[in-house]
Amino acid sequence: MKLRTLFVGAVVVAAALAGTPAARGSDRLRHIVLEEVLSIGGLNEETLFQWTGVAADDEGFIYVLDAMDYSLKKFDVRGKLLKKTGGKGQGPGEFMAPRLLDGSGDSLYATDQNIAAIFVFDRNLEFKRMIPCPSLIEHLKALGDGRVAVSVLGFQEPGRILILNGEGKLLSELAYADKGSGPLMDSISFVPDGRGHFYLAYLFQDRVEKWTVEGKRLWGAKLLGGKKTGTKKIASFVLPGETCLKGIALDGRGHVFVLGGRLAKNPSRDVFVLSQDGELLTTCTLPDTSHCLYIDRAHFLYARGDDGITLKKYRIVYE
Amino acid sequence: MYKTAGVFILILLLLSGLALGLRAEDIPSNICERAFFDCLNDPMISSWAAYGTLYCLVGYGFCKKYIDPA
Repeated sequence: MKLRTLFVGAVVVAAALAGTPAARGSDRLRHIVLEEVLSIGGLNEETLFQWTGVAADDEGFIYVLDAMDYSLKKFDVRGKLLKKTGGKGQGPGEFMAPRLLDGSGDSLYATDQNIAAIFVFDRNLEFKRMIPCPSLIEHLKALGDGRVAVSVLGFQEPGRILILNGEGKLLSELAYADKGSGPLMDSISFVPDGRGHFYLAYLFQDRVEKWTVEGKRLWGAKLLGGKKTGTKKIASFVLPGETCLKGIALDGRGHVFVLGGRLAKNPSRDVFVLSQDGELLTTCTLPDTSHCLYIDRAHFLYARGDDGITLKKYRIVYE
Repeated sequence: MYKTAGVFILILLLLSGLALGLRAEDIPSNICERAFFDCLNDPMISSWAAYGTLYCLVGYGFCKKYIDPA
């Protein structure tokens, strides 16, 4: 009887210990390695000149916006250029300063720095239409069902993420920034998780945040030890000087990847990997500096090489 | 007579040098800051008033993210 009681007790204690955070930690992500699987463009090629936006679809096709030749390009899974569209101009489907790109369903959504609207192409790079936006666009993500989320810069209004339908009608709005934070201080990259949350990384503040789409802030984290950007007075404007966090992406396993900016230890190369709850799990370093991060649905990570002449695709190895 | 003229020219040179020095400090050297400065002073963009300023600010943000050397 005593032995049986002792055995049951031991099982109960073991089960309890297995449920503690320390024990669960053994299953936690400890290390990430990036293995390069594809490189598109290069210093001796004329494939890419300065790519800005990237997206990939479920079949492995890669779409790239190239600022220096004002175009949208489609590559196959091996990196072969299949098609190119766009061109310099202000006509339908033409660009003056192409910047952001994302895809959902059969549609690709692109932006131009100087135009308060979203360009819609199909996956065969045929220009379809424009979605009007209330202001110039800082960041863009496709949400599915023809909806898009954009962060816009207001002249004196705090930063907002707007959710628009395919005609540009405002469906909802997430006001994430405080009033009076100063020009550009609420500039963000963001990524939706498809479950009603947005993750935000601030370009000129050491802040990562998780918000509900209804506008409730769930958590905030600092990744650079609370470093503050310097300021520069230009004409009558006091502008932030150094970038803090340049990009944010989700890997489909619930990890949040954040690219550090100029104030990171390895500027524009350090990648911080967080849990959905904002806990820093690990970091890794890109071989080359990048302006953004993109992770496709097959968990491949895309980043810049050679100042934008090269697009690198990495397999994420979890250890 | 010559002495007075010499002093006068020297003062003029000093003043113009000082003015040039101050002007040089006004023009930023960083690529993005210089682009923002030029954008604000572009006659066409400045005619757009508040939208012109917004246009320059958006350009500055993208420049800092995409072009400014890490």
